Order: sequence, then C-alpha cells, then structure tokens
Amino acid sequence: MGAEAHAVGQATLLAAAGLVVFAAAHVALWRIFPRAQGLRSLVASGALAACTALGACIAAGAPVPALIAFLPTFAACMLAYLHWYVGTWRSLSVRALEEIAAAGGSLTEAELDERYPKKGMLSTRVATLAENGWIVAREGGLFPSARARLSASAIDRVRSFYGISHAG
Amino acid sequence: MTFASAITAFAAASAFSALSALAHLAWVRAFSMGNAGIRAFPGCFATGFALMLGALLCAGAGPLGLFEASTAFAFLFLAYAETMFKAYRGFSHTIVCDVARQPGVTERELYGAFAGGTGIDAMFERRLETMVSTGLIEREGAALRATRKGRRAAAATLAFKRFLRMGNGG
Repeated sequence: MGAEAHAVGQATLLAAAGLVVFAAAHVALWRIFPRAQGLRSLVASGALAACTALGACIAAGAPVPALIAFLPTFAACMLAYLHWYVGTWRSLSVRALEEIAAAGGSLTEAELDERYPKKGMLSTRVATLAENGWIVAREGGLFPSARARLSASAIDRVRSFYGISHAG
Repeated sequence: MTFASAITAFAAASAFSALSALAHLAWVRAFSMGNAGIRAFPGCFATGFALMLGALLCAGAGPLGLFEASTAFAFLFLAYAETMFKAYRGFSHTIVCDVARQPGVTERELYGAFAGGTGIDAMFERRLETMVSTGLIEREGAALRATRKGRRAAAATLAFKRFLRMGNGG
C-alpha cells in the first residue's frame, strides 16, 4: 500500500514536471513565432514535454508503476488545457464577452455588432477552414474537401443519434 | 502485477466511461431533450465515475489502481465532452456540414442558411441567451451588461490571449 501511494505521488510529480516543460515550450513557441500558432504546435509541445519527462524519469530510475500512471494523468491535463486554449481562442461567446467588457461593461446589440460584426465571424471562420483544407473556394462558391465530407457525415450521425437540430 | 493492475484500471475506466456515454444517449432520447441534452452528460459521467470507484474498491484495488482508473476516466470524459461541444455548438463543424450539404453555396447564402436554415443572427442570439442563463451577461433594456462574473472571465481570457499573442480570436 505504501509503495502504491508513493507511486501515485511520483506520477503526480512527473505529470507536473511534464506540464512545466510543455508550458515553457508552448509559450516560447508562440511568443517567438506568433505565426506558428495552431493545434499542431500545441500537440508538438505536448509530445516534447511528455518525451522529456519520461526520458528524465527513466534515466533517474523511476519505478515502472509511476511511469504507467503518469501517462493518463498527463494526457488528461493536456486535454483539459486544449479545451481552455481552443475555447479562449476560437469561441464566439468569449470574444463577444470580451468586447462588452472592454467597452466599459455595457453595449447594445447594435454596438456589439459594430465592434464584432456577425458577417465577420462567418468570413473569418470560412477563411480559417479554407486555409486548413476543409473547404475550397472556387467559382464564387464554397465546396467541401474529402475530409470535410467524411467529418460532416460523422457529425450528422452523432447529431441524429442525440436528436440535435439547428446546432452551431 | 504492475501491468495487470494498470490494465484492470484502464479497462474499468473505458467500460464505465462507455456506460456513462450510453446512459447520456439513452437519457437524451428517452426525454427527447434535443439541444438541451448537453446539460445531462456531466451528471451521467459523475454517476459513472462513482460506480467505477465503487466497483474497483469492491474488487480490492489499491491507491495506484484507483489513481490510474480516475485519470484515464478523466481523459475519456474530456474527450467525450469535446465531441459533445462540437456536436451541439461547433461553429466550424456546422459550417462544414452546411457546405457539405450544399456544395457551391456562397458565403452570403450561408449567412442565412447556417445550421440548416437557422441563420447566423439566430445562432448568435442563442449564444447571447446562453451567456445570460450562465450569468456572464444580463440584459438591461436594449443593452447587454457584463456581470461581475463575466468581467472576471473576460479579464482572464484577455490576459491569456495577450500573453500568448493570440490576437482577438473568435
């Protein structure tokens, strides 16, 4: 029992160390190369951190149970951070809230639309999707890529199972 | 012994998170919750987590096994939550679905046809209502006013964006 509790403590410390390495790599990458932003850089930083932490622990002779327990701990923390990161970066609601707060805490809907136009929301997102190969703009219209069609089919199935209509 | 314990823990986490997901699906369909169904999944997973811990304790799992199972369950819960948020609210995913359904649609047409005819205006109105119901903003006549909770949340996200030089986002 004592050995198990010790392994839990070690796994927690390992995960914390991995997260520190990740945070340093992630922040350094984005501050030095702001144009390198994106999920790929985040995943790369996370992978680097996991490998660094694991490598250091194996070299220091950390017990196998701690190494095994470290993996889901680190993965869960990374996924939680990803939620926060993507939500903060891409959320329409977060941006709207920030605009209201930045304007002294109160705006009418018309004023909010001037600062954060709804047409702009759609244009920006369409541009991002086009840049990342999800949709293709040609002949004045928008067309899905092959992976967009696959993704749409999967999402439609999920929405159908859960009875979701008018999502978005 | 180590690997057997870890395999048991991960198997338990997978099984109980799968059961939690099925319970959520069954609940949503049984009560025809539609778009409100997203509110039900944390409760389903909290129940699943409690049942998993109970089962492992009855099976004699030690602290390490419980820790491994809990963290693996947390990972699977977060993965499910991500899927649910995308299915219920994903803006990009909805655009992709609309374009896949109507290849050649123009951006102007998409504005009104967004989410199978809901439109961008109605979508954004729904988001404002969610922000009101979660206490981030309140309506004062024609104005939208950030509550104290909303101002604190905005300050945190703005600081994060500035620190990482993310731009305005949204």
